[in-house]
Amino acid sequence: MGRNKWLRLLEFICPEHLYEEIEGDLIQKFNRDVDKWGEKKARRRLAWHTVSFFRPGIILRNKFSLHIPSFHMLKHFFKIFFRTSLKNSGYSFINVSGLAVGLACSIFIILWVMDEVSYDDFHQNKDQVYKIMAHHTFPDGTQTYDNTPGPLAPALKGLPEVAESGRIIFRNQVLLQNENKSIYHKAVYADSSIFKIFTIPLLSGTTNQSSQDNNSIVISRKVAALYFKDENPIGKVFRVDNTFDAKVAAVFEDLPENSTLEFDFIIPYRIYAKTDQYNNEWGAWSGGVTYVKLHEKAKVEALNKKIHEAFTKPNIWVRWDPNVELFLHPMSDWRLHNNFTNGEQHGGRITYVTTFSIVAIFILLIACINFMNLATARSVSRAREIGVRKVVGAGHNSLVKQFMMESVLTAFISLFFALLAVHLLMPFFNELTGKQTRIDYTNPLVYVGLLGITVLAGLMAGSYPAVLLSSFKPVNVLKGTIAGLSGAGLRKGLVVFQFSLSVVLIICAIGVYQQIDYMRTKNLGFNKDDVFYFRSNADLRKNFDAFRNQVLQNPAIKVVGQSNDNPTDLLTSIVLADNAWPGKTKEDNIAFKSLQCDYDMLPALGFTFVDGRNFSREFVADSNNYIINEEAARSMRLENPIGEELVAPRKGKIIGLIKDFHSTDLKGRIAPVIIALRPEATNQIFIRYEAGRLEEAMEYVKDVYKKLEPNFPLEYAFMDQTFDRQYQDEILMSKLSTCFTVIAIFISFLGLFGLASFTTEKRAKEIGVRKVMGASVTELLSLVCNDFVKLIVLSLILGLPVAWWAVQKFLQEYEYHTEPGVSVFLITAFLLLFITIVTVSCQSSRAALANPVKTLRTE
Amino acid sequence: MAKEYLGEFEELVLTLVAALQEDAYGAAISEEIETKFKREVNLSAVHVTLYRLEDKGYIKSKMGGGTNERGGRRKRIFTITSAGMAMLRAMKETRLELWNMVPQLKMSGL
Repeated sequence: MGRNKWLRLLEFICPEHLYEEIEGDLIQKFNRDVDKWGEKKARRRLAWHTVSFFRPGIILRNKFSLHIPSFHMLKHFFKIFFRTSLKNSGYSFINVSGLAVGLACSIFIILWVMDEVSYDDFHQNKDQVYKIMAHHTFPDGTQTYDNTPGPLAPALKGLPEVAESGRIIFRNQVLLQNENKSIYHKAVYADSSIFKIFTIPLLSGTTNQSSQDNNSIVISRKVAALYFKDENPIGKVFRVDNTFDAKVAAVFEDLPENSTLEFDFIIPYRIYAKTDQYNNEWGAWSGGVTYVKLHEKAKVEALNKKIHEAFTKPNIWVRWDPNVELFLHPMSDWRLHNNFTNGEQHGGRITYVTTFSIVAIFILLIACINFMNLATARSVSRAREIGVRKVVGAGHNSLVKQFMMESVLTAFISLFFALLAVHLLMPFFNELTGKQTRIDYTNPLVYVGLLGITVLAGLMAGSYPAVLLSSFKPVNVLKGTIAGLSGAGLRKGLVVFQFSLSVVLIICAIGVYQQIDYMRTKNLGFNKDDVFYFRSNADLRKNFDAFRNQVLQNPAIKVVGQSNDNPTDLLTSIVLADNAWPGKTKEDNIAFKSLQCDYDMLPALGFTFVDGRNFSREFVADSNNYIINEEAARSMRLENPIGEELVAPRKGKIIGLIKDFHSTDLKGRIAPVIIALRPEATNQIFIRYEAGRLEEAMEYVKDVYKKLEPNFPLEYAFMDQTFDRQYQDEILMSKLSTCFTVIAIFISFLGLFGLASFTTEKRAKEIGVRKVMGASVTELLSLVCNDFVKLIVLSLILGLPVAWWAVQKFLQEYEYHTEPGVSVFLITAFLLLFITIVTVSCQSSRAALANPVKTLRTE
Repeated sequence: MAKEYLGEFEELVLTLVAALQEDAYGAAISEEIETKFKREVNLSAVHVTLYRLEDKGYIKSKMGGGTNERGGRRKRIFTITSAGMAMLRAMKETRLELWNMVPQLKMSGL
């Protein structure tokens, strides 16, 4: 009876000292079954009996650790390991460096993923905290915003499920002045209940409402240290935004890096509420973001329904529009699942997390394949050792264990180098990702993780070689008749697999890069270059004409304009009332983007007029008039919009039509925009300077600014940089994917290099004979290259469709995207083939050039 | 030891080890159970029970000889220890009937 495959598996998992008798019993039983039931049924029963031995009572009897510690065996094992490694130092180098680079990559990716996943973990009741968001359904799709009406938060508090509720208004630049220090900070207007919703520990002072009867603010430890160093900050007075004075009531611990909420100080919500005339209005969306903390057993689905019945329907729908649905968005999703497309959660940062996790696995796999290929290819050189060991009495199991341990040991040596590399490269990685990642060696999980991944890599790499090598028949091996290249088919398959992965990675990296390049250079419909902008405050707005006239005296400055928003990223949306334009139907509740600007804003940014004219100082009526873009005209269904009446919300006429422009990133469609002339409602100044004369222009603007606005420091930004920042995730993704792709290619070719040198070594005699017979060097080179080129071509054929699919999937996220041309595929193919030929040739050329006498003489 | 209990199957196997003496190994015990009790047992269950009894110190084992029927593989012969004997004896008090079965089995084995 031949050894059946189940028995072989059983041998693998069964403790060695028990295996013999179990196998014997099984065979005995089988033989008796044959007599009793016949051969066929006996075989089935044998399989069943064997499989039933895969039970904990048997498997757990493996004494993994207790088996090795025979000191002499261990010493012997290490000796052999280091001897073979040193003897073949070239291959060992390839193995260790490949695995080390693979492990280092995986460690980086794991660190990054862990950081992303740990966002907001510092909040104690993370699973009970929710943000209220709203789906707004428009004729052209559903938009999801986190703005809520002011009265929502107090009303929610009345529901039995809600333990706490609070509102936050975020402000990016708020000026804090104390004595002669005045610096912009990120600030929030917030209800004091946020301290009960979020975990923001207070260091000193109190946030009690009653102590806030006068204007009091709560500052972070960072702000306190910045202004007061070691002094007690409690009771100190700040001037906030040069509009009101506020006393410091408390100091809170800085929010950690991995927090989705970011702010440096907190102003009472009441102060904001006073300035917002619609703050008590259910139909307005100016109340800020509403947060709730639920009671432990509250059901979210039921609560969503309840909110709909209690507030959305009776309060919001009647005053706003029945196109809104509120829902709770859990804190655990704020970081990774915060993207909504057409009312459905879709994509977001989680895509990056999964993509890079897959890439990490790919890279580790590629490194492991190197190990497998080299180990099996070079099995011949160890065949004698295996033969002798078997003759002396080593069992199959102990050989498997030996080779497994060798690969695990290699993995651990690689881990050492990987950690070294991780530490050296950490500053670059942090600069790239903008995080403060480090390996926290005090965390036991880190050790578990590192050990786990290393052992996994070692086992993955060692499993196949171990099984293959230990199955050699001693008789054949010692006679020297073993087929030297056993496992060649599988090895080829693995190389193809490896390079297919590389093909996918290369093409994806190029695809991402091309898309980003496309987005950064695409004509947006206006000119974002050579423009800087800054915030304007009350004093400057009052004296704007004087400022403008003075600034324009410098020839380096071309145009000065004002607006309330940055045209690369318009935030304000408006929905117009009935009869806002001729022919508007009830269904046309389109969300228009709105931009409010002065006379010079549109020329400053180089918007192109299709029809009509810009706002002009000569027409007084222009303060009620509008300029729209082509998309707005299309969605209003106006053939000739110029001269048509428009109520938005002032009653006026459309006087200009500008070309479509991108008012958000290229993921979104071009939006309809209505531009109004409202210089008094603007808060940003845009300055176009003569290209190349930035410094001159900047110095001059700074001087004029200081004279007219002594209270606020000038903090400027460049429009093209702000624009790029919209794509910082994509740019990071592109940089990371390029890095990882280069690494993947490096490891793949390292393996190919090893295989090529091995093949050349094996075929040295053949090459010698061919040379003697008159083959030229080129013929010899192409002979060796041919095998490898075939594999690469096969990888390309397999990898290209997958890559094409992946790139298409990525590009689908963008409304405006490039079409990956044939050139991408050609470049990839050319690149891979070129490097292959170079790698293989540089190995085989030595053999091809060598004097055949040398190779043929030895026997 | 007094606080140790044996499961029904453990007790059965232990008794058989005592009964079969020099012929007590996995396959033989399972066959014995199948023929004597008309009870289908899984070979692996017998083995696991034997190992467990050995852990508890009721039986000990040594490798015996192989036969052609077993493809030359050696048997592991189990013998009952005095602790195991004491355990069985203690059980005799409560399970007189079962104890009475041992000599019968012994006879049929001879």
